[in-house]
Amino acid sequence: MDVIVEASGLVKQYGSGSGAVRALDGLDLVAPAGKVLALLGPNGAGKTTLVRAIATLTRPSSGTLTVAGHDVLRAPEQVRRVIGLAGQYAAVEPALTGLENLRMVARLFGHRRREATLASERVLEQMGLADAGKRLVKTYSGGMRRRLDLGASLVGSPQLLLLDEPTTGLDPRSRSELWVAIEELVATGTDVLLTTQYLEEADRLADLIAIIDHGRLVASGTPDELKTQAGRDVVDVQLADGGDLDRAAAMLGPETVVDRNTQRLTVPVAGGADEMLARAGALSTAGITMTDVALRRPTLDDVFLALTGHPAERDAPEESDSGTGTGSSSGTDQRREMAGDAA
Amino acid sequence: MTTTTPNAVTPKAQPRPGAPSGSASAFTTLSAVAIRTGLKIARSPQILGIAIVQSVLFLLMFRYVLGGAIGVPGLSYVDFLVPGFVVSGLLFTAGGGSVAVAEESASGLYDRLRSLPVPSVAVLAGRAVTDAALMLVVALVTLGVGFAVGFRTGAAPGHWLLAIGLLVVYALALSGIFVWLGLVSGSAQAAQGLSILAVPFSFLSSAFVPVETMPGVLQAFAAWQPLTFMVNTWRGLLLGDPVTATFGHSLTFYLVGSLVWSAALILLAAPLVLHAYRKD
Repeated sequence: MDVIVEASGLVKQYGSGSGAVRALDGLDLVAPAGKVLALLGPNGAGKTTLVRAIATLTRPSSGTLTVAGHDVLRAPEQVRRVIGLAGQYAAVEPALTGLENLRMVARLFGHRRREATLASERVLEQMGLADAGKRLVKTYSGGMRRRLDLGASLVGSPQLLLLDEPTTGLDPRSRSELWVAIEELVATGTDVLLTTQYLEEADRLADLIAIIDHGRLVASGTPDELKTQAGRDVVDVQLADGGDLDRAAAMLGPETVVDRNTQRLTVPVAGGADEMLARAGALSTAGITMTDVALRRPTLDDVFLALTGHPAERDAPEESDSGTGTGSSSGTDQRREMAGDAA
Repeated sequence: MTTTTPNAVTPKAQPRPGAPSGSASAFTTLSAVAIRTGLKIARSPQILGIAIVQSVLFLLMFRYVLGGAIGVPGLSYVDFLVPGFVVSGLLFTAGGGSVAVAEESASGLYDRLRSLPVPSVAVLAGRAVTDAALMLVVALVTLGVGFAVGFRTGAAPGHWLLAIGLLVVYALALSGIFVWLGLVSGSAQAAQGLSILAVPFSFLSSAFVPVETMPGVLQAFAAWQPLTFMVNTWRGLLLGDPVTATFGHSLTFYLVGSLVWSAALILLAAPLVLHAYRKD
């Protein structure tokens, strides 16, 4: 198995003494070549720090990290020849056209002038921006800017593409367009390592998922393996009266997850439909009124919860651009909104 | 059996289709970054416009509001002021560059550039060169306005040429410091705040008033700080010998001093800028 990224005992510490924070705390990770690996975790889990370390932007405090066999500390230049980075913000210049933005990056990747133009045009085509290439980026919508930014990380035809929360802050339509673009890239044989807070995104794009929490690897595997690993089916119980939540949760046991907003309780069960009926019966006997009871296969959400002890970020943030951007936006307004807060 | 090369770890290195054959040279990097910044400035007329308006307004205020109350022995105030204003104006334009650097830093541009196989020095030099060019344009427009409000000089073409050449050197020397301020400021707003430092720095120099009128400690600082050397060199070149007598030192003294200061500023700024750029 060819390995594209290998981290071993990776530590990144900020500050020292009692105020020290370990963004990465002994992370071990192997990303095989030829696959899409999603790093999944809540805010502050260390995902971005890991991507920055792979991109040679952050120097690990200890442990080893190699990219395509090159050590990030000893051979950062070699690593930079292998990677393309699209960060959390769309790092494109609004006062330049899409083509001009790409051409600069292509030149910096080492393309000659003519090659740079050809590569930029090819990437614009690939990102569905061929018609917009000659327009100033400040007329682009948020989704178009992200795709252009993704394109900028591609003009050097990198072996490994690093995408740090590629769709955070995008409206649903722009997200699915970006997903399609990423899937097409994967089809051309580019290795992808992406971070995300969205289980749906990881499920859709990734061959392999690594769940990270508190700077450590919590679990890894294919989406199916992870779901199976959580193993047991899940029962959702919907209560009629929010005042019964605590009593019901106590009856269902310590593994129960309470969602107060929706008055829903979720609990893993080993005994299938029989156990579901037994549990529901007990609640009913105790005088708790249920509006719905359902047995289902676990989702990645449940896996995440089972492994980290807290829920993953849920919904995509609200629509952040109308898709018809006018000249009013500047480069900084594309900054990501923090999607919810880490539990 | 001979020793194996320790570097040949993995069987990678197969160039991907469409991947560039070489890597960008320092010059390519510098010019790509400079062209990008230059295009941005050219397409955003407000950047140059605001810098020029600001510079011209302050020139007019000094000339017509404060100027009447400031006496300079042996010179009319407008002749004293304009060279001082043109040179110290470099600082104010550079402040705008610092804000732009802070914006670019926040936009993630530098993360992308740092992840590319290009020399950092060339990226930053590209930025500094464009900033210096902008500073020069604003300075020359201000000089033109200076003539319109009464500045006169009988300087020989050789002196003019040298004066403009030195202005380029000063602009480059000062831009490094402001790029650094932009990188460490953390936000465009903070960079804007930091660039206000240009005000005390230019007032505590020979740019607007003769340093001889300042009290002890301030005078010592003002007399030896880089801007005074640059300003006095310009005055000496454009206004001739009688002026240099007023300042107590020869033109050569200020010229050499201004070059030494320029070199010192670049040597000081380069490691600071590189460190701030590479900081994780």
